[in-house]
This record gives sequence, structure tokens and C-alpha cells, in this order.
Amino acid sequence: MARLLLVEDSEQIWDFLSRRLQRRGHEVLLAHDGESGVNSARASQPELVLLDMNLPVMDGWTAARAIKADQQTRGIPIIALTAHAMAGDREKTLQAGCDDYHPKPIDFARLLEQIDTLLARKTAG
Amino acid sequence: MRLGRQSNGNVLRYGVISVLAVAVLAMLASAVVLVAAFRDINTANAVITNTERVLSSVKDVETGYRGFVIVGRESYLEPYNEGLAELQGELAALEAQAAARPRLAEFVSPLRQAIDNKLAFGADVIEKYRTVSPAVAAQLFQTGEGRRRMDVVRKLSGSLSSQAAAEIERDHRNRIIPAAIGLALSLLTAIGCALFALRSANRMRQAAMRASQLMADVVGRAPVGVAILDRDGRLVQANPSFCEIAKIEPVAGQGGRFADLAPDMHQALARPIQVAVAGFRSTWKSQPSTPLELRRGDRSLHVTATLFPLELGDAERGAGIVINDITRQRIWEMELEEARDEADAANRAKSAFIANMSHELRTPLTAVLGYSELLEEEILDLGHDSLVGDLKKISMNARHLLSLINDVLDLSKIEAQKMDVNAIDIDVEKMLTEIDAAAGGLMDSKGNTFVVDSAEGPQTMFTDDLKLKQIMLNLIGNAAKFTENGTITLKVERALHGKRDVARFTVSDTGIGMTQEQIARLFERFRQADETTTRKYGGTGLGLALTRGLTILLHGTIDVRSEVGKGTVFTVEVPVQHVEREMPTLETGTPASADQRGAILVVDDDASIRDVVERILVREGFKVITAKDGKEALDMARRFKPAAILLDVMLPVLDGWNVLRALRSDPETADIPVIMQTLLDEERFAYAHGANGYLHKPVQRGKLIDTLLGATKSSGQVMVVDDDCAARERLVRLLRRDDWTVIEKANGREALESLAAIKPDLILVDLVMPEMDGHSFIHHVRQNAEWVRIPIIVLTAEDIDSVDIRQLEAFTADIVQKGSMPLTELVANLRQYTHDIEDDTAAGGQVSPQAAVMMEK
Repeated sequence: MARLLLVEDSEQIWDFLSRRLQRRGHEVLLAHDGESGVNSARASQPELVLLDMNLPVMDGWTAARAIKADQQTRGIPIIALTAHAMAGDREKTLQAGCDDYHPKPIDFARLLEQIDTLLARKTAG
Repeated sequence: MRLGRQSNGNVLRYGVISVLAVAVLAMLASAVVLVAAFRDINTANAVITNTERVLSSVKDVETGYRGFVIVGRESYLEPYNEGLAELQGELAALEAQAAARPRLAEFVSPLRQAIDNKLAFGADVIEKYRTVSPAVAAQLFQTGEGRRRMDVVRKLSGSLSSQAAAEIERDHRNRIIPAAIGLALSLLTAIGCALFALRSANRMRQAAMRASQLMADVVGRAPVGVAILDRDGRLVQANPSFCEIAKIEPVAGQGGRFADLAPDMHQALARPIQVAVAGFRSTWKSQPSTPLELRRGDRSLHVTATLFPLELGDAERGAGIVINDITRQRIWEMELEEARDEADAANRAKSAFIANMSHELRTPLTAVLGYSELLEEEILDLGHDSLVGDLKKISMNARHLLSLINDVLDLSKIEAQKMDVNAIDIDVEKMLTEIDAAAGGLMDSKGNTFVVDSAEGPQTMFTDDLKLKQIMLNLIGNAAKFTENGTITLKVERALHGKRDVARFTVSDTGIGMTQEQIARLFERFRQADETTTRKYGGTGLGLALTRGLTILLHGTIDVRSEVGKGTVFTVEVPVQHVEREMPTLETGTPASADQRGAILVVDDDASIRDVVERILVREGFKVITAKDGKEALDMARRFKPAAILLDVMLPVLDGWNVLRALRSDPETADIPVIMQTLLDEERFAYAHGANGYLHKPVQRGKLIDTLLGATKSSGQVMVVDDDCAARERLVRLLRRDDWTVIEKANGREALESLAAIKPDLILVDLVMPEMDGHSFIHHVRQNAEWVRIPIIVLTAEDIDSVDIRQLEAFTADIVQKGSMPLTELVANLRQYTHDIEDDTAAGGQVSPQAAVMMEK
């Protein structure tokens, strides 16, 4: 399974989400704000980033841009987690450089599918 | 009313005057008649008297000659001779008197005749006595001729007297009496008129006095301060209200200087008083009243003062002051302002609350869902399968709660007009497949069948797919809720309503249906068909209100038909091609469109400020896009690359400083000029963080534009020369929007004069203009070595012939027929002309004027 970086400031969400992902055999690295998320992505080179958009210090949109702007981390796929299920969020996240988008609350089965798809695409690419 | 009475008074007055005049005339006439009559009567009386005298003289004559004849003494002839002498005078007088009265005159000559006869007889007797003998004379006596002649004289004089008496009598009857009556009557009338005039004058004077007393009473008791000032600023008079407002003693106030009596008022009113005293009543134009705030102990008195000139006496000028106490009104206004501010604040708080709700409510729910699902998995692993059902109920309810929250949020967003439509190309068949898949889950619980019929529907649409899906799923979910073991059908058709090409979605069920009353309340918020429905079927009652809101957002319509026990049919019609309504200046959100490049991005969380700034900028020809928080600002800056950003510091989600930092750290946005707007003095901080400009709130229009013009890079300087104001303005607006700095001139001469000071990068010139037309302007410009390289583009409204064109072409960069191409296209192409010349200069060749022009071509 894969090494995932979960950037999420809400303790309960990163807690259950990381545990559920770990149950599926993924290794989960954690970061709790945008800036440490970007740093962590650079330092530990995860296979995929799950990036919350509402983050302290540096928000998710900025973090996504930073990750995609950096030569070292450009190739890491990002799934944006947004609290808004509003129309337009999808395009905005994609425009910010994210590879996919998952509105909260988390539909775990769907999230697993999205992770698998991106990882498969990355391997294929 | 007043007018009527006044004109009545006039009629009366003129009536009295004419009657008086007639009466006076009548009096005069009567007097004239009386005088004439009395004169005539006098004459008649004199005639009577004279007649008697004549008769008496005749008698004297008779006595004289008789005595002489009888006695024979000469001395007896003395009375005879005296009588004869008197008689001649008396007769002459009588004739003269009688001549004025024809009726008497006719009696006089016979009388004279008779007297002459009598006198002749007398003379004859005396003659006979002397020449013949006394006996012959006596014999003549005895004939009685003398007496007979005397009788004729008596008779005729009697007739004359009685005739004169009759004349007198008649004059009395016919002239004196009527004239006297006339005189008396006219005199009475004149006296009556005079009395009447006197009385009414008196009454009018009294009425005027009463009115001015009343007016004084009104002024005295009016709740408005009224005062009179003389030209030296002394208080001539003031009513009690004025004294109360000005805090002066009514008695002490008269005559004192206003400046000493009420210094606070005088200070504020010095100028208006001066103006009013200097003004003339006839030419005075009423001035706006001056508002004053007066301190009265611990409270404020708000008044307005109105001044006007007065004429106090002969050449003595002054001013009138009227003071209105508006304290109460002012307090209401302030309360109202306060209430409005509070309401605004509450409204902002509500908006902020709703914005935060999204995050704040969904986060814990995400946790609830996540943990319950996590527990389900762990418990399955541990083998406690019996507990899984309970955990599923937790997650199911959490999901339900989430959907309710979503409905509330969506609805409030629609109501606050904060929901945008993101239209995309939709494959209708694919969308229906997704709807079918999602609807499947809704059918299971109550044994319903879901059928989709899309045979007659459009294949593609351009609209917001998510909202359309939400509408469909809401309606299908609704149908499923009220139907058991039935069929729910979604039918798609295409329909044309005039020019409107719409897709019609019909969701019909075979459920319980609704009555007319229920249908009437159906789309109201928090309302279901009836209260019992909520208990039996659950739900918030928001679903249909939201569905309708979404439909309206897509410019569609929704309709419902239903029959109790048979089922319900909802029909939604949505345009196949969604077109954004054009409200560019008022829209807060900005649609995603490519031509927003080069616009000014205005970032402020206060919608009213966004609106104001946008209006100002749009009027100045800028394109404007707006964002309401830091995150949106960053997003739009990256997406649209605006020409400049006007950035507020106090922003929700991500504050202005963070936005500025993020903009500067991103190579794509690092070069966009940013102007910071703050309430506080943070100028240095702003520049330290890379701001290009700095503005204090509240923003002043002129400063805003200057700062923006300074910050945005100009395309260059262009001179527009056209006498048609409207056409020029249109062009200028477009040019400014395209970042040109524009110099406007109305004719060739003005343009030529200004060229001495400014050298534009480009000149756009009309041909037909007053003062100096386009031809000679171009000629002049091309003769000056300094200006020879400025590209000139001719804009002309009329057809010009080929000779003209050839001549012009030699000197100009281009000739454009007005209306032959859209102005926007012209403006968009302008840079090419300036670039051409830059390239040309870069090439380094010194070129002749003529050649330069040719190159511009």
C-alpha cells in the first residue's frame, strides 16, 4: 500500500481518517497546517497528499499551489478535501493544482477509489 | 375666498364713488336751475313794479294836462312834463326787462302803443287850448276820448302785470319746486354716500388692526422662534419662542446686541445675518437654512435658522430670523441611524454566521460519520455483529442531518444571492444515468419503481449540472417519500416557448397526492403540505423551497399538479442554453469568463463598499471584478491576472496581509500591483509587505482613481480629436478601459495647441470639425519635425472620395470609416500602431517624415 500525507487541522478528522486508512494498509503521515504540509511533502515525499482546504498558517489553496510549484513535489497527486459541497469548488481546487476533489463529509469508499485511481495513474504515468 | 371678498369691496367702493359723483352733478344742475328761475322771477317782479310806475306816470301826465285846461295856468303843466320825462325812462326799462321773457314782451308793445295814443291825446288838448281856444279844448274833453284811451292803457298794463304774475306762479310750480326737491335729494344722497364711505373705511381700519393683532398673537404663541434684527445686529423684537431658544430675557432682549445676548447662536449665524442684512427684499432668493447645535445644560438643542432681509423703516434695513427647533426630529433620525447600523451589523453577523455554519457544522458531522463508520469496521472485525445495525443508524441519521443542514445553507445562500451558476456543457443522457443511479437508493425502502423517459429530450444542455441534478433528486426524493409500491417517472422533453428553448423535466408519482390548499402552500419555507405530514414523513419542509430557488437560479420555472389519492406531477422547465443575465455593475460575484483579464480586482467583505467602489471604477472606464474574502481574492487573482488589486485588510477567511504575502510569493501573481486599504495607519507596513499603493478608508473617489492610474501600467498616451462629444466619450471610455491615457480635444486648433506640451503616442482625429478641420490639423502636425512620427488615425463619418483618401493616406497611419468596424476592435488594434513605430525606432534608421508615414502604413 501507499505512503499518504494527510494535511488536516481538525484532530478528530485526522484521527479517524488516518486510522481508517491505516486499517486499509496505508501508511499515513500527518501535518496540521498548510505550511508544515508543504514542508512535509518536500521532506518525506509521500505518494499522495490528502489536503484539507481550510487550514491555519497557510490555507489549502496556497499549499496546493506551493506543492505544484516545487520541482521536488510537483509529481505528487493531491486530493482536495473541502467542507463546501458547493458548485464551483471542484473547478477552483483543480485550478489550484489539485488532481482530484472530495467534498466532506467523507464518503470513505469513494475516497479509497479516488486514491487508488490516482496512484494507479501515477504508476502508469 | 379672500380674493372674492376683496373684489366685492372694490365693487362697493366704485359704486359709492359713482353714486356720489352723480349726486354732486345733480346738486349742481338743481342749483343752476334754481338760480335761473329766481332770476326770471325777479325780472317778472320788476316788470310788475315798472308797469305800476308807468301807469302812475301816465296818470300824472293826465292829471297835468287836465289841470292846465281847467285852470289855464302854465304851472299846472309841471307834473305833465315831469311825468312825460319819467315815462320815457320807465318804458325803456320795461321793454328791456320784458325782452328776456318773450311771453311778457308781446304785451309791452301794445301797451306802449296805447300810452303813446294817450299822450298824443294829451298833447292835442294842450295844443287846441293854446292855438284855438279853451273851449275847443274843453269840447275835446267832453268827447270822452281821453278817458277811453286811458282805459286801454289801464287794461293793457293790468294784463301785463297779471301775465307777469302768472309767469312767476308758473316758475314756482315748474322750476323752483322740482329743482329744490332735486337739490334736497341729491344733497341727501351725497351725505349718505359720505357717511357710508366713512363707516366702511372705519370698518376696514378695524379689520386691519384685528388681523395684525391676530398675526402678532400667532407669532407670539408659535412654537417657532421669530426675531427682527437691525443692521447693527441689535435685536429689535423677538417672540417668546425665540427668547426661549436663544436663552434671553424677553424684556432685556429688546434693543440689545444679538452677539452679546446669544453669542453661541450669533457665532454660527454671523455670516447668514450679514448676507440677509445686505440683501434686498425684492431680489432676495431664499437661502438654505443653517443647522445649529446649541448646548443647553447637559442636552443639545438642534435648530435650523432661516434668515431674510427686512425693511424696518425708511431706508432702514434689517433681517428677520426664523428658528425651528428640530431636536426631536434629530433624535428620531439618530435613533433611526442607530437602528439601521444595528440592523446592518446584525445582517452582516448573519451573513458571517451562515458562511461559518458550513464549516462549523460539517466538521463535527464529518467526525460523527467517520467514527461511526470506523467503529462499524472495527466491530465487524471483533465479531460483535449485533451492534453494527445500531452504528448504521447513527451514521444514517448523521447523513440525514447533514442533508438538512445543506438545504438550509443552500436556501439562505440563494436568498442572499450568493449562489453562483456555473454553467457547463452537459451530456443529458449521462446526467440522467447519474440521476438514475442516485435515485435507485431512494426507491428501495418503499418498494417503488423508477422509470426514466428521455426519448424526446435534448441531447446536450449548457447549464449548471449540479443544481439541475439537485433539483431532480429533490423532486424524485419527494415523490418517493409520498409513494408506496408505486411508480415514479422522470420524463425529459424539449419545448419551445416563443424564442425560449427549454428542457422540460416532469417527475410524476402514483402517491398520496395533495389538495389545492396544500399545493398553495407547497413552496413556502418550512411548510409541508400539512403539519401531520411532518410527523408521518419527516423532513424540514425546505426541500421544495430550495428546489424552486434553484430552478429560478437557472432561469427556469416549476409547476405542480396533483390529485388526492392519484399522485403528483412536478414540471420543471430550464433553458437549454443558460445565459447570464447582464448586471455587470451590481453583481457581486464575478462570472468566470476569459475577458476579465486586465480588470481591477476589488476585494472587500462589505458588499456595499464593493458596490460603491465598483460603480466609481466602472464609471471611469475600468473593468471590475470583485471578491468578498481573501481566499476568493487569491483565487481570482490567479485566475484572471487583474491589472491591479484593491485589497482590504480586514477580510474573513484570509486577511489582506496574508493575501498580499501569498500574491507576492506566487510568481504568477507577484507582479500584479496591489493597493492596500485600511482603517488604521499601516502605510509603512503595507509597503514593507510589497504593496504598490496605500489608501485610507473611507475611500475618496479622486484619490482612489489617481492611485489606481498610478499603479496600473498604461498602454500609452492617445489624443482623441473630435467635436462630437458623445462619439468622443464612447471612444475615450473604451480607450481608458484598455489602459490608454487619453487626452481629449474638441477641434484641430485645441489639439495643435496642446501638442506643444504633450507628445502622445497616437492621435485619433475626426475630419469635419469647427475651428480647424482634420485635414489642416494633419497638415500642421506633419510639418513639425517633432511630431512627424506620431501615428495618426483618421476617423471619419462621411464617405470620402478616392483623391482625398490618397492624399490622407500619405500622411496617416490608417483611415477608419466610423461604424465600419466596432470601436472595441479599433481600440484593441491600436497598440499595433505604436508598436510599429517602436520597432521602427529600434531599427535605428533616421527616416524622412514621408518615409516614416509610409512605414506606419
